[in-house]
Amino acid sequence: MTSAKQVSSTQLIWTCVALMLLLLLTVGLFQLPLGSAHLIAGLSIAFLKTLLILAIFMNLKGGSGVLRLTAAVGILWLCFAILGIISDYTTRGWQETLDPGLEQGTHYSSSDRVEASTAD
Amino acid sequence: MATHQSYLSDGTTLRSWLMTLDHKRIAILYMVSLTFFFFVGGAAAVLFRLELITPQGDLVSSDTYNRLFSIHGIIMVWFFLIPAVPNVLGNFLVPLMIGARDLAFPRLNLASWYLFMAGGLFTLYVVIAGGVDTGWTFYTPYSSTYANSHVILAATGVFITGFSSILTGLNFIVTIHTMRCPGLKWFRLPLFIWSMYSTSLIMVLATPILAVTLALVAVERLLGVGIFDPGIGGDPLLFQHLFWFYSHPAVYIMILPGMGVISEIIPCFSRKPIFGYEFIAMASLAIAILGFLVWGHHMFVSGQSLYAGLFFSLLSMLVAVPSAVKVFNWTATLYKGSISLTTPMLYALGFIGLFTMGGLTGICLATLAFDVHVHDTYFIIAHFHYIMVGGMVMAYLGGMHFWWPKITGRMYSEWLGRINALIVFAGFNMTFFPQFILGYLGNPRRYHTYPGEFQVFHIMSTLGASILGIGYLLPLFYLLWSLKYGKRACDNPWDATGLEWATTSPPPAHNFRETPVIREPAYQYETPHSDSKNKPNPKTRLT
Amino acid sequence: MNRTSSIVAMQFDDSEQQHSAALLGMWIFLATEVLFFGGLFVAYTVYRYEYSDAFAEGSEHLAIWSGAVMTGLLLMGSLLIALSENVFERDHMHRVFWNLISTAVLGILFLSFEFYEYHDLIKHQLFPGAAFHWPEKQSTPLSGRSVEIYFVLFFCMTGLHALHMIIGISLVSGLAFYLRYSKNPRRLKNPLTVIGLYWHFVDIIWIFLFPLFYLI
Repeated sequence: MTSAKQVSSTQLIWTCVALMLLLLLTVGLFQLPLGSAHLIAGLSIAFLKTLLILAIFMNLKGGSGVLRLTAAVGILWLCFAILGIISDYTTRGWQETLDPGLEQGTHYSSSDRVEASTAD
Repeated sequence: MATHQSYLSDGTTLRSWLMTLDHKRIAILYMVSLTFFFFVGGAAAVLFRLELITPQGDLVSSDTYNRLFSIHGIIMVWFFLIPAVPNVLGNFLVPLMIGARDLAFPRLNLASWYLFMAGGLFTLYVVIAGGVDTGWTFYTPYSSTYANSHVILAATGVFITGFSSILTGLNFIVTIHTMRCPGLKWFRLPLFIWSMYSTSLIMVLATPILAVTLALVAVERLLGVGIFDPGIGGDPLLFQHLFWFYSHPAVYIMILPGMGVISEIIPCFSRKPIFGYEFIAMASLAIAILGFLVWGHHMFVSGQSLYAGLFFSLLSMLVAVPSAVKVFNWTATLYKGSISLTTPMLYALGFIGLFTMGGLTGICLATLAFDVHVHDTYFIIAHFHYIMVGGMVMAYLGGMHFWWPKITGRMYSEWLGRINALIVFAGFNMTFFPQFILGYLGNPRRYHTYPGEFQVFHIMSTLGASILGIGYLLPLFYLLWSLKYGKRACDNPWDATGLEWATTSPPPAHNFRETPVIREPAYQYETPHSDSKNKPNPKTRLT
Repeated sequence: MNRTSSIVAMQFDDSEQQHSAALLGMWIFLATEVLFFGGLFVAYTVYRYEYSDAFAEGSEHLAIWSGAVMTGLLLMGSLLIALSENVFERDHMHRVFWNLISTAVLGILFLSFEFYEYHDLIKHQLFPGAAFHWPEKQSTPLSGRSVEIYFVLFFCMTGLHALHMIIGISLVSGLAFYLRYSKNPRRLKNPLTVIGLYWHFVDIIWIFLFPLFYLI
């Protein structure tokens, strides 16, 4: 872990220009009628921006492997939490019993309560 | 030795202790405060065990009973089990074992003790002010909507203590990465360091989630909005997911350090190098990582989707693999070793047996169908007490006896120590084995009354608990006694390897007179078959 | 972490070891911060999945241009603080001082925009809790509640972010003045790097909050 190489000032300024352009792009894309693709577009651009900041501004580019690993672990663990939890919500109420004689499991989630007036 | 001042005589005023930056003194601060909390939590257990002697609720009301087991859980989990080995033994040993003068951030280390005490005072205030009745799990919507006890205060106490454990974990990871002495490569580290490293990973990555979850419960209570309350749009299962995303890995915070202690004791008293060093080291990391992916097995009956349940059930069984690797390797180390049944070794052997029991019943519980049957019964209580008390507390006591000569420079009475190890083992089994049967027969947990047919098991359990109580009080007396009247310990009373034994007992303020250099792997004990006239002396391994 | 009594603290062998310890310590701290915000991101994911329509309705009360300007302000601040490290290496302490001060000012501007937005939402009775008012709340018992959850998350997540901003602004301006009046500013290299990392991290959190709350 020797002290990292500095990033040159011109590189920093160009990175900032790129970040600003990405910001304009994300606002611009939002004006188009993309529907649910807005979420994907917004998040992908946010990831791109994050990578730029991590690599250049936070100098992971010239940093040691341990630092990169630490950053990766932080993000990976957040993904564990999100994926594990959302896997529960998205698979609720799927065909839960293979035996036709048994009653299907019922899930009462909060969203059931909200749509109570419109559902049935 | 006499010319070199030990860390204990480096200032004797109260201020020199409370403002110290020396990791060894901070370890002592933790030891004193943890012992206090342990007996507060134990007192609550005494009261509810007494209540459970009879099937009727005649000693305390149901309300008081709820508060008693809640405070028992909160104090024992966050103020004893989680900090026990990392903050007392880890703080003392991590720099010593890697040949460093101190942890990387000594001020942060002291700050984390103060945070711990601040959190502890909140919790003690809760005890005095009338308690909290949610159980240590703070399940919503009970905790956020209905409970009329001091939920926010107790949660604040836990929240603050959480930061103490984050800072300790951070300190350990940085120290182990950057401050190993020359020649101490990763695979020459003592296994205790590997387990501390894995524990620190969990502390650093899991605890923040608990903090934010408790903060959300407080927001919900203060604003009256429905984050977790289904009546007003929230989702109580989300709380359970977030809580167990922390608390299941936290279970491994409560056992991994104990495994580290055992990995030090077993080779020392078998006079053999540990069997399968790399496997034990990697098993620690594997437990730390896999431990993050199994939290859903606490929610099999909470309304989680069946598919998530299957996934978590499978992964839970996978965690058993690295745990079993460790148990097999310890047993293989014992095989054909020249075993001496000293006090630390008795605790270590007890650990292996009890941990195996706890672990195997854990696999039973990871099985979906069986869990539905025994969920929320005494079976669960027995299972996790076999891990937490049978595992961790045994390891903590074993470690304390093993390193006591190094920490204080005094020897305790070996005979009392051995007798006490047997008392703890017997008392423990008598307390918790009947609870497996109780749970299997269907006695639910967290009730102050129960059907009369269960009384005989409850009486056995209470009787065992009183034996266990003696087993916990006795060391308090003979260890304190040894401080003044014990024989002076030499630098290496157990003929153990490891850098901590290469310095004086007790060590000087900056640990080593000169920076040690390591030239060979850990645990180079002479095997009993080879020429054992030359007892290993770590000093010969140093330049 | 900023040890100022001597250049190399007792427990370290040399300044290089101290520097790598400070860097690693800060990165680990940032990893815990990711998970600290992470709990809220998990809650966001779950409720966005359950109440996607309510989230779209709620976001209509936020001004996109203001969110975009706020992002821009933070990115500028990040650039300045990254540049100040380069300038520091060349010993132009005066410029480091002004770079840090400008970063802090940009941060304060960001907070003014944010607090104006809070003010506006509170005025329209959109602050969650007893004062929350949503026209449809009466017609069906829970539909307003799901919009309320959007605002609970909005206030919690941006509020926690604002708290980090306030800490960041104090650290940056404190460091600026410390550097200016210090006799030996060279030894503030580690604090400068570490505080810079913190600022960039707070920036990244906002980069995610912006599309998640404004662009629905």
